[in-house]
Amino acid sequence: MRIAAYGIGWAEGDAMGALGRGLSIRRTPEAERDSFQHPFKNYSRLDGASRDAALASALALADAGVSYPFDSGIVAGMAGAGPAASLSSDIEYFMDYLDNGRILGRANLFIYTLPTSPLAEASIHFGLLGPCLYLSDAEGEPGSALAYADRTLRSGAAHAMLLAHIGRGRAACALLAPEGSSFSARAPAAGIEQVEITLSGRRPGPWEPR
Amino acid sequence: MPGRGDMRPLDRRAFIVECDMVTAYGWGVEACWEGIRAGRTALRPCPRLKRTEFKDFPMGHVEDIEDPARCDSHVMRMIGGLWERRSGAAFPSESRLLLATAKGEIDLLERALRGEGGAASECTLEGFLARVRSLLGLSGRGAIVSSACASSAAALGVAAAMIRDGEAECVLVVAADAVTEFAASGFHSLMALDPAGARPFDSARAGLSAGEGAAYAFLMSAACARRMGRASLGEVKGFGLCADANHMTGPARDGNGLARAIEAALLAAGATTDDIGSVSAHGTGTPYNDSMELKALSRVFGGRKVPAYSAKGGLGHTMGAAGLIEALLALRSMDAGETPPTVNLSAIDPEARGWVSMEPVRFDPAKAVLSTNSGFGGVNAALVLERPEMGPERR
Repeated sequence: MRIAAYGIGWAEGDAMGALGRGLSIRRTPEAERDSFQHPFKNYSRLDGASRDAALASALALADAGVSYPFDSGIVAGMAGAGPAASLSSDIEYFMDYLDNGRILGRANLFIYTLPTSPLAEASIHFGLLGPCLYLSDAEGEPGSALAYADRTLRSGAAHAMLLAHIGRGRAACALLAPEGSSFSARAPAAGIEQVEITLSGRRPGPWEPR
Repeated sequence: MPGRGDMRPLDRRAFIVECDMVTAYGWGVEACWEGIRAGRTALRPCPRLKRTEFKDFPMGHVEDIEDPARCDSHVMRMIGGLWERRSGAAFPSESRLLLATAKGEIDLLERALRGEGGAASECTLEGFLARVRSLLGLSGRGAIVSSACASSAAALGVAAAMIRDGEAECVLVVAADAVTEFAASGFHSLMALDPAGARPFDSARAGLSAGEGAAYAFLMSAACARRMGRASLGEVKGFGLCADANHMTGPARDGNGLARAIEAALLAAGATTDDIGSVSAHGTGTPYNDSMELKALSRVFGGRKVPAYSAKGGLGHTMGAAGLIEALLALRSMDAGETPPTVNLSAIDPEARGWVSMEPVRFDPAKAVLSTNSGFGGVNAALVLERPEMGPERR
């Protein structure tokens, strides 16, 4: 069984795109909204990492030509990695708590202080019922997460896996599935050998402003 | 399980050959087991939270890791303490390391943001991983595993899968989380803390108690264990990890995510619910979690109820470390052939009748145990654990 990436989406700074379709456009509120097949409840309240991860995931699914929610019986999960995990959200939460006299924290900030928070927000929106796991190597590299996604697909525990790499102000996401599965009608955007390099910080393609 | 077909190569079974822990009961699996077995709670107000709104809330904190002269983190002191307690064979230096945690060294970030020293930008999980690798003298690849309060259950499952699939022969799972103002204030903001202390599965339960702890489990393939003369303490037979896709803090009320995780773990173990003798439940003491969990168990077990318990009324909710700590306690319960009482239980919730007890309950030690954990974001993990002499030789 070979595992392939059927779609790869990315968001970085004021740009966003998809590898398989060669898409690279300016990231605007309208472009973000239009990237989701269904309205994303409370999208504006997500922390930065969650917005980046959700957007990259939506772009990956679109890149693969895959609709969501998935058909009944299709189990898709999400694994992620990235440098500094939830550090930005941790600082935001605790500074707010300190500034307010250490009396009461804000729950809407606290819920984003887990490494899995961006993955969980994406899982909720896309209806992912499979695994949800942050598995990050030294320096935040996604090698172990990729191996985990590969293993999960081979074992049949999931039919598809979204693999996200979330950094500071950027995210990239690949939709992985066994080659030849009926999950996507399109040809793979990349072999699994290319996924780690593609996700871990090298911009997948040139961006040009429109 | 006797008479059941097992397609997994015999040599690739994942055995726990060494383990240890520290909790609010003190150092060692035995200290924790004896406390919980006696029905004694270790929850009490935590002195390091004395300037907070929840200073009087019972929490499961570890004594004697406080030392203002030291600048390392609570979790590193706990892990360091476990390391100092070790005697015997060193871990093979090429062993893979999985470090499971929800918030890692978050107290370092607290100090930095309160202006007490250190740089906030350096308070990363990667830094924590590097420090643990250095302490343990491991040169093999390491990774952080985080899945909220199912972190270390997930790490055990990932470790077992790595061994099963031939990716590694030896994997060290280390888990740790600490009672901190960060975590406690967060739970407090969600109104999730019970000022009276956690009372899992009690009809008057009103929330959880934060807890802290650290643990490690060293896993080897059966072939490697044989080669190195290491006896097995237990086998990680099956694992499941499934999401609710429901809400960031509230579980799916019908327990469907946890039920699917349990079913996945049973499938991976080649087992059915008839093979399960007891359940170590997540049982946080919040109204919704405990109810969800009972619904999930009822759905999977059908009309049958097996002895179940939660340890969190005794040692608190140890967050990312809960999965490993509770799995090791579950192995200990198999040795004893009995489940411990659910500590702090005084009036059993009607939904929980037939499952949990205020007394120890005997169960067939030849059967496996099921250990479950759930967490924020709707994550659910389930482990099937067996005693080492279980499982027939198959060719």
